[in-house]
Amino acid sequence: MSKILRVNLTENKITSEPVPEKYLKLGGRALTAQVLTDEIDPACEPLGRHNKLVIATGLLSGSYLSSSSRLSIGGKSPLTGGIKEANAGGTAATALSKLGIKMIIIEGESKTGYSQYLYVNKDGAELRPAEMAGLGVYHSAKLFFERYGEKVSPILIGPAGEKGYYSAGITNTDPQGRPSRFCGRGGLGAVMGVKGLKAVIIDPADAPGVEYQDRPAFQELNKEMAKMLKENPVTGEGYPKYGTAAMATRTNALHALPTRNFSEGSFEYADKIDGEYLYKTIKARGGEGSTTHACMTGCMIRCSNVYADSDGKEVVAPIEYETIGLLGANCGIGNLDDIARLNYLCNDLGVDTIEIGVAVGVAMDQGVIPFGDAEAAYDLISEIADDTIMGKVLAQGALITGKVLGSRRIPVVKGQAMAAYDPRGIKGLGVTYATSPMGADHTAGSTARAQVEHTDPGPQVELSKKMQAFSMFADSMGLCLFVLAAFAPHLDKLAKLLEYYSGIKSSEQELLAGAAAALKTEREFNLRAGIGPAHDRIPEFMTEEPIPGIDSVFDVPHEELQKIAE
Amino acid sequence: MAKILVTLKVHDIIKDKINRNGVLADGKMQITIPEESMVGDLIDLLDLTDDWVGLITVNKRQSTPEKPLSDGDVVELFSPLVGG
Ligand code: SF4
Repeated sequence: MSKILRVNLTENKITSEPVPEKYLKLGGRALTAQVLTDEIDPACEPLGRHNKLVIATGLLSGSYLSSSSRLSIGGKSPLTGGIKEANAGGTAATALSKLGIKMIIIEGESKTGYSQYLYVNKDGAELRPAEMAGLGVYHSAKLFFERYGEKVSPILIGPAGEKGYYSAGITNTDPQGRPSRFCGRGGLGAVMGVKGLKAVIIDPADAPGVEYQDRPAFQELNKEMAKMLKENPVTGEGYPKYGTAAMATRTNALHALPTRNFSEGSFEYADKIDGEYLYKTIKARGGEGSTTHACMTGCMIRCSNVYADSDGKEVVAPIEYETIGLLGANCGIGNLDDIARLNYLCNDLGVDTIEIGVAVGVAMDQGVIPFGDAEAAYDLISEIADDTIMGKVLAQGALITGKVLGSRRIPVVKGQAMAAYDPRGIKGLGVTYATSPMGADHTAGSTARAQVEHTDPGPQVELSKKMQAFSMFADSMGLCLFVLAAFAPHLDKLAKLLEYYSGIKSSEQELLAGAAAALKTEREFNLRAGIGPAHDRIPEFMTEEPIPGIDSVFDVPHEELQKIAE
Repeated sequence: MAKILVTLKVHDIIKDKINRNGVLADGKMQITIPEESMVGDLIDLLDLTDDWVGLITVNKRQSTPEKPLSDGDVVELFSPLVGG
């Protein structure tokens, strides 16, 4: 891929630059980390004009390989105060690759006084006034499709991002145009919003398309990879049928399903919100629902879904495990219809369902509304749109909500809410939460699949370290983590695919070493931003309050955690 | 040889696979096995390879294939997942 698009909002200037040599072998998360390190002062105000937003493609983006075109967005996070990358499926990364754009760097701060969007096509890019300012992401996306046709890929924020709320994410659209594929974490939607940018529209019409160094060799090896995905029980049967929601049965069994603000690890209604129940419900209702769905063109796994109501009308697509865990069990809500409505509401506002699920759980714990009351949860989240004080507090995420409400049970690390894995039930994920430069983020190194005793503190640091490197590797290639169930033993083949695609010669060892180096880059950024080992901590209540059922606290010693960086 | 009775619960794709083999319908069954059997013996009995079993619990606590079984134990098997 040949170019970088640089958009300076202060000067209203857009330039196209060749990709410098040092960035050629970097993609996705690793690329965003390096660009941010090179171009911004880590001490800068995340919502100020010196922060930048880097929208990047992965190294395999646009290729035929299944699930290989995730969109990476990086910036300094208003939630963690450190470096952040969030990635998502959807169609935008492929569209960028077709246009030959490796990344878009957005800098400065608009002085126009009105919201704008960036339109990008084969002829260049232009900033245009965004009349859809203030609208939810569904309505906004519809307007963009009406104007530019159904083939464009909008990358956009909702009202929460426009207002600079820390829980705001950036979404892009699936192949059917649903703006529900969120780069959700870290408040990057707020970074985009304060710059006065509502959306980036990628129009791949008549684009030159991607080039292969050796297309026949790529296709040949790709057949082998496709066979692996098909034959692996998890990628061939598990994810396509039950989706990520199947995780609920596992975390529930491990006492790691956050329940009622992380006070319990198993939920009495877990079997009403898990993968099997979701599958049966969607199947029985028929209509617009679908038990399987691909978030990006060419994904063979199709772990996603379309959830319909009892009349068969689409409510939201998809429902994912994290949302089920945090807007569901963590809020004491054991009904998929309720969770689906809350999910749609969060999407439309453009907020991260993890951050908001945890914030609502904290608010329930503090008695603002009762646990299990889905209507009250809906009204509470709706306050974000209404700009009430409570809405503003909630929209700033779990930490601020907890502090304002006087909670001492706030499940966050480095200011960011935990995903739907209690670190007392799966301690390896606790290590990842504590030590990842990303803050509490399950995608930064999930250990849930590993065949270890999850409550034994012993092996977790090594395990988390390995998984953090694996995640960085996948996030840099643009790969969905789920392919690793089949591909993890074949990283050498992925290295070959990369060579056939872009000519970059490397080995499995080199790719993993590159991932470790990128993690180091992120840690160094954070150190310069004032975030160091002292911040690598799981909240105190989780080290003292045992999770019922297994009597486990998070007890991986702090000195052990520091071995991650060695 | 003396026998023991254990309850087996399986989920999603393991349940589907076993149903294809016509063994059980609702994911739950009682099995009589020789005393001194281990969890791994049960897994072998079900013809499940390593690819299929990612998590085992016995009486709601995480366990391993090497765990010896006792009369009345409840064994649950889950396929592996990368994440959610
Ligand atoms: S496996 Fe799921 S999340 Fe991954 S690319 Fe496919 S549909 Fe998207």
